[in-house]
Amino acid sequence: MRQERVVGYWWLAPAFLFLILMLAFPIVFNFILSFQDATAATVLRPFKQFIGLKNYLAVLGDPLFPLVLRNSFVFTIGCIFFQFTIGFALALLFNLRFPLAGFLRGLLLVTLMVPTVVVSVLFRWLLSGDFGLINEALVRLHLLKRAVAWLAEPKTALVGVMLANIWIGISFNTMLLAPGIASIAPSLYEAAAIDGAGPVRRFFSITLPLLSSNILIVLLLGFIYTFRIFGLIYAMTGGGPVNATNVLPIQAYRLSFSFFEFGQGAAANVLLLVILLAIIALYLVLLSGEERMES
Amino acid sequence: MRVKKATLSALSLVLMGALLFPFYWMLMTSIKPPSEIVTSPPILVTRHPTLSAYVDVLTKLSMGRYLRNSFFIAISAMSITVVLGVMAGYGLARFKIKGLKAFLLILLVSQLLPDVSLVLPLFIILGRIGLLDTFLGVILANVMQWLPFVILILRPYFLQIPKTLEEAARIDGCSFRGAMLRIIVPLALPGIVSAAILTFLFSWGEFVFALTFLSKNELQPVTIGIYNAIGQYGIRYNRLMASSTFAILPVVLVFIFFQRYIRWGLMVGGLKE
Repeated sequence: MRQERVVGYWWLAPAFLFLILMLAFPIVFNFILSFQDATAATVLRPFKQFIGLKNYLAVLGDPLFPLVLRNSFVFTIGCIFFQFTIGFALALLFNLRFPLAGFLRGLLLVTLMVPTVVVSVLFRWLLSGDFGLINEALVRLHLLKRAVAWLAEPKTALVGVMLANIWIGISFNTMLLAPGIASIAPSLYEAAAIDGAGPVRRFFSITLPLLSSNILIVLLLGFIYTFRIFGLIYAMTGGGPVNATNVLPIQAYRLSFSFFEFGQGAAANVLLLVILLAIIALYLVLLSGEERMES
Repeated sequence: MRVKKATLSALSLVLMGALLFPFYWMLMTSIKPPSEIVTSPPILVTRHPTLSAYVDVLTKLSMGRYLRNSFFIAISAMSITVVLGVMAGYGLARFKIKGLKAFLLILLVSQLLPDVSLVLPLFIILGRIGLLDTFLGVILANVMQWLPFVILILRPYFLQIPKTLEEAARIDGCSFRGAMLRIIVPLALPGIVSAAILTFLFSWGEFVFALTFLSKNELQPVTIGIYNAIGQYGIRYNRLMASSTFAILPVVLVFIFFQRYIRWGLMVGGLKE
């Protein structure tokens, strides 16, 4: 028996050794780097000078930082609001039994599989100020007086990147909400219907309360996945124009790879990790509560 | 009742049509002649379909090389991830592991961590050991990103296999390796195929590691090829859309031939444990 236990660890060893080298070690390395003087000139030195919290103070004291943080939260919360609402509606729709439901539901996952850079160029084209389809449609419907260069205007760029990400995220929310919706016993709805409750009433009195913990988990997971988004925005706007779409992951990346302030980039990475780990911790607490209820 | 079902089908068909419309527009733009692309009103269905944009990106923009690179990176990342993932998934399902909860927790947290936070330390570490501007560096980064997810989705498949089946095979004279290859892997095959497909597609679409670790043009995958092309010829959307169509080809193929392996429950399973 004891021998078997040892054998078990041998099966785990390659994967976990790999993760220690490629995941845990880099995170520790990044943490140390965030306290060191690491710029283009010094980064390759084997021993870098420790400079305390200077990198953190530089990142936090940057006049851009409040804007970056604001963008991050506006982007994340705005995206989640729409993704969740639309995704929820679709999950309710696909929960009804009708021909094609399974097929169309499966198709929904396409948006999660497509390379994000493809979504970036696709929405760059759809949102283009010159003959972009979205402008053409809005002008023709008299919702806009004239074409807007969505991604080139500081006022609208964030809305533009949010639109692209909402498009991706709808499926994510539908996918996560569907199992919970399917698990609600139809007899509950039938009983409520007999008692005279209409569809709206049934939604607010049965579906929402029964799903509440599930919904919270989906929202937190959405936050974790949206707050860290980099590639989609980077390929659409690069964080511009004039930082209008600069979110924390973009700022961290640019500090390292545009300005070669590696120490500050590492500090920004740590800040990003700390924010996300706080949300992840909350997510795990809720998840374990959910499991306890199930068992 | 039947009318109601038909209405629901029609409604969801329209909704999905609207949601997937960007793909139609991509395809349509890619087969338009340049004169039909920037027009007002927009031309919704081209009258002169042409494949010239596809020929252009293949001949002038080395699309063939980008696709080859992507394929090599994705297939390698997939193979390593699946081998390591099957071993760990099996180990976590089959043996009494002390601290099982802790292992699962580590995996769950690892796969929620932002990839962008790992780019800088990996860039420096890979640079030290000479793996920048090599396929191997990007492949390993991809494995790192998807391995925790793959282990988490594979473990339930191994849990389903009764232990007695494996023991029976051993009694019948199968070696441990024989039992693994002849019984366990085949029974868990649907899960392994799903994990392989997902890892392939995600590595195929990966952006930030390739962007940062591969500065040599000859090594870059299709995602970076498209990114580079954005600035190069601003308004030639037919070429950008043709490149994009090439880039989503594996996704389309998977949805045509392997859709049953991309199940919702599977994806959800990786996010909870």
